[in-house]
Amino acid sequence: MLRTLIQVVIFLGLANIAFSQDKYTISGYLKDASNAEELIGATVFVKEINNGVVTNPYGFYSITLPPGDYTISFSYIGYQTQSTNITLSEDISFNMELLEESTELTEVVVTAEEEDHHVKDLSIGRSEINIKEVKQLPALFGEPDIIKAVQMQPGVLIAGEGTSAFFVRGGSSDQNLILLDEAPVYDPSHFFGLFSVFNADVIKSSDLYRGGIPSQYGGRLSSMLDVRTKDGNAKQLAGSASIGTLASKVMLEGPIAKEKSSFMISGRRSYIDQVAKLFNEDIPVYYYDLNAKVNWKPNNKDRFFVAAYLGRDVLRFDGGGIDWGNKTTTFRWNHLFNERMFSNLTLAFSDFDYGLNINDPLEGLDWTANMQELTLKNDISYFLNPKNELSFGFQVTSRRFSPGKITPTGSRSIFKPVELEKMYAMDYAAYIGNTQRISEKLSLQYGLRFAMFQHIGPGTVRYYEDPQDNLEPEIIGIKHYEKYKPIKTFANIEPRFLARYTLDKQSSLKASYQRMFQYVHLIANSTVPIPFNTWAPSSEYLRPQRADQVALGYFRNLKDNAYELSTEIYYKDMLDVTDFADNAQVFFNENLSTEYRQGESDSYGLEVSLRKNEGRLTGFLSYTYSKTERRVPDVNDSQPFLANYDRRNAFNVAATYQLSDRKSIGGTFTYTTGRPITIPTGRYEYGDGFNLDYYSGRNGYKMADFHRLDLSYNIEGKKNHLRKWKTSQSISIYNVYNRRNPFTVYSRTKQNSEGEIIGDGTEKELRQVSLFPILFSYAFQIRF
Amino acid sequence: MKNILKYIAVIFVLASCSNLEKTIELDLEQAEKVVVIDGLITDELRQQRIVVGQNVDFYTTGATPKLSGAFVTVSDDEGNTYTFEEDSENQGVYLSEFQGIIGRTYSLKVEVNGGVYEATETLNRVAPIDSLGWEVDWDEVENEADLDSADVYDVLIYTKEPQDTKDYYLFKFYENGVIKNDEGRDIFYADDEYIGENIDGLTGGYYHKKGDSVTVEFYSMARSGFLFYQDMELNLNNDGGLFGPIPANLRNNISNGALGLFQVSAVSRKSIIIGEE
Repeated sequence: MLRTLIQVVIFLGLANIAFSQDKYTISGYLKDASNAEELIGATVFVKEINNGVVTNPYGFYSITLPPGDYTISFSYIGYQTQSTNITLSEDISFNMELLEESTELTEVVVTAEEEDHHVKDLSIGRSEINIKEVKQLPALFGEPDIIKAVQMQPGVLIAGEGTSAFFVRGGSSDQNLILLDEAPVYDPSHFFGLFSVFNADVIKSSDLYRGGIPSQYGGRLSSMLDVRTKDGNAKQLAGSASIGTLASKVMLEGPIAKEKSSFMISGRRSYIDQVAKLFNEDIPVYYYDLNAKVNWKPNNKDRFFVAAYLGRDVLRFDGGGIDWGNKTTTFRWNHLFNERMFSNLTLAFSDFDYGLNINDPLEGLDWTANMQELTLKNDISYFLNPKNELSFGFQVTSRRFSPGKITPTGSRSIFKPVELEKMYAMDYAAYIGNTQRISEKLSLQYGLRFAMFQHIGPGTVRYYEDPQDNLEPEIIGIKHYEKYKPIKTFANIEPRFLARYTLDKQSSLKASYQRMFQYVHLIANSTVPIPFNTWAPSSEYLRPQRADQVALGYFRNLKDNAYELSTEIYYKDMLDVTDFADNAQVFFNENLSTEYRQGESDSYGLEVSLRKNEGRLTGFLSYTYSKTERRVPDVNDSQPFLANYDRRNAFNVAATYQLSDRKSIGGTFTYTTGRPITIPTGRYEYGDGFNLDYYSGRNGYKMADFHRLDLSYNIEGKKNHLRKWKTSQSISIYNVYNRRNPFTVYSRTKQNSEGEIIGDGTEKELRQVSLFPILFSYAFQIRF
Repeated sequence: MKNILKYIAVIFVLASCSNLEKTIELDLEQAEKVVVIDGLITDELRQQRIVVGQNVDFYTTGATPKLSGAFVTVSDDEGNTYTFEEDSENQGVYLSEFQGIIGRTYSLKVEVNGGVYEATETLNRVAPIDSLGWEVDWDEVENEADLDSADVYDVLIYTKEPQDTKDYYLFKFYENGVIKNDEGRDIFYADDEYIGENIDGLTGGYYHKKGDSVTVEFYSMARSGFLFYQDMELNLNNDGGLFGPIPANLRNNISNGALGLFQVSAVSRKSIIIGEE
């Protein structure tokens, strides 16, 4: 490891020598011409060197070249390509604005060489979620949702429809780092997962990394979903209002100082509770979201952004209620030290909390829990020369876990006030990486991430005679730690490596290796987490989880880049994955650590995806073959078992067809093998007529296969340049052929439809529950 | 707007009409045969009872088999050993008359079909029920006649929970001598972790009608009993492990993989006639 570090240092020195030669830099920002939103991941291609770069997450690019005349073209999917001739004899700052491709169909599509981005891009296991596409695809209850699109990507599996949890390359759902403007979102779900917290109207870009994660990011084993919101139209005031079947939303954006500063504010609220009132029904369930963003770009060197998110779910019932939600705030400062050195400083705050209250004179209580984190990080990109782009930086995170507090509220309450001890942790990381072009054919990206995680005081550690005895936990010692005192420290190095070898103009091979560590753990023993699950830091009895992943990919463009084909295989080996003892009590348990069981997980898979970005018909097709097996001491008698979300085959298609410049149809089809489920093999009687299930093992059975077709029809309002308003409507049909897809299977003593036990009460039955029948939904949007 | 409401109405109608749950048949493997022990020793002088049986395959109906010819003994830490005799009328039911003593530790040994199954548990004290009361739950009353003939009465429990010990409870409710547990679907159990001392008028599990004789029982348990009933609740009310824990066998205090529980309890009991002051 040390040797690698030394090599990096030597390389840095050499690079500086190379850099001292006469070379100049062209750098700047790429923007959307209509609203000045920066374009992320857009291609900047230099014809003379037959190579280029992509814009970073802030829309910035930088290329260093020997003096000379160059033709530079700027391109981005959905936008018209722009070319310009430049004479490079000094450092140049050059911003470019791209025009959106008109929806009018162009029969002949000019394909420039740089559009083989997919083949040349130095990324593997990455899926860009195209928000425009998501909006045209069928939407459940008329609410376009990027998480639903994420769930259709190759390598991604779901536990069931109507849930926001997703499982990437054999990892569990808490192993996904979900970032909203760089602040982690701990629970991305509304309505127990029916919708995600991401309001499609405010999203600028979202990328899912299943592998090939750069050294800049860490902390979760399996994936990163990087969601960034719009900065706000810097040219003119704009806005939109949408009405869906279950929720409506409004968004307003505009300049504060033209082209220097802009804002974006958006709100969304579900109104099933209000609609139900019209039908004299009482469904006191709702959620809302608020997104707000302000940015200030005083000059070409400095940019400041403040983004905030607040979301909440509220559910009232007879005599009480529950509520939960996320809050995030991000402050960012982009600074250009010079044309070659781009810095981003981020301060991000994230909070997740939930509450339960019961109103009753005797059993009344308030139960609250939350977790908070504050992160400071600085990421620097150093565009050394066209061959090397260095990145380095650090991250410091402070976390507080409040697993639960019960406050009695009733006048004659039977409860007493209790609070589980809060836990604190500090997380330090530093990284260095380089993106290097060895030759025209071979490019590498490599880096190291050093991370240290500390569980710190104030805190109390209980030492157990047998740390895994959850029947009769025996505490043999208790130690108190003062504020900031380290209780348990973990330090690790995470190497990352990615290579791309271009075979010919249309195809390339890519390979990656990554090691990741995860220091925070979701305390959930279900398949899909619920908002009441808490998180815990790595500590005395909870080791960090580790994952090593290798992936190999073949990327090819077909028919003049009209189709992008990628095939990847991966193998992922995980150590100390967090699991729980059978029947573990994960809520309000003082001896929670005795329920932890950690073991191994192995997964491998083949992913194929085909994407078409141009023409009347666009969309993608993905197929995944995968297997994930866990081996956890003390779980399933220490025998290997299939992960809860293991599905051998998964096939997804999403397509839109442009009927005319105003009308389009969209369709999605999903087929997956049924997921494993634990089914009783026997039954026995006990006590006062209890008819109990006997289980032979975990996840030994499979549910029926899942498949579903959804369709949508979208109409854009008439184009009339005199009109200030534009409208669009879409109709979706979910589960077109009304299949009863399995959601879960449970057992019970045989009952009739009234819930009365039939016969002598000894007969048992298995019940399969489905979630959605055929559903129609309608959404209307108005924009200006 | 009118159109939108119409769409929404259609969705609600569709969602409510469609039957989203159905019984399915799966080809299940045979369950390995496991001994089930259902044992209860209390601090009352009575025929203490140990039932020895077996599990059956999931789809097998009828009473599960009870095992004859077992050798069943219970001994305490004072050197007393009680040998249980099989009831001549009830196969697999083993009886012995004695009274459990609070504070003593009891050990069970069952030898059957070549296997030996053992369990040890201490008999803990139980909080005495101070008194019972009743009241009308007016939310349940639809008309005046309900007060005489409908199940609209709550039974109220008054007790003091000892705060100096860690206690675990099992509660049972009887109406006119018959146990109420919704045909084996309700279990009432608790630990005292978050419970304060004064329990003034805690409502029972069921509604009763005027004239019903209601009996409430408190059983003390060891932690193993509490976990057993907690697991039983998950076993009976699982959702297949989607939002709830993955279903599993109940944890218990019996060795050698036997199912069931050896429960050792002190009992407190009170009765009341609903409507009588």
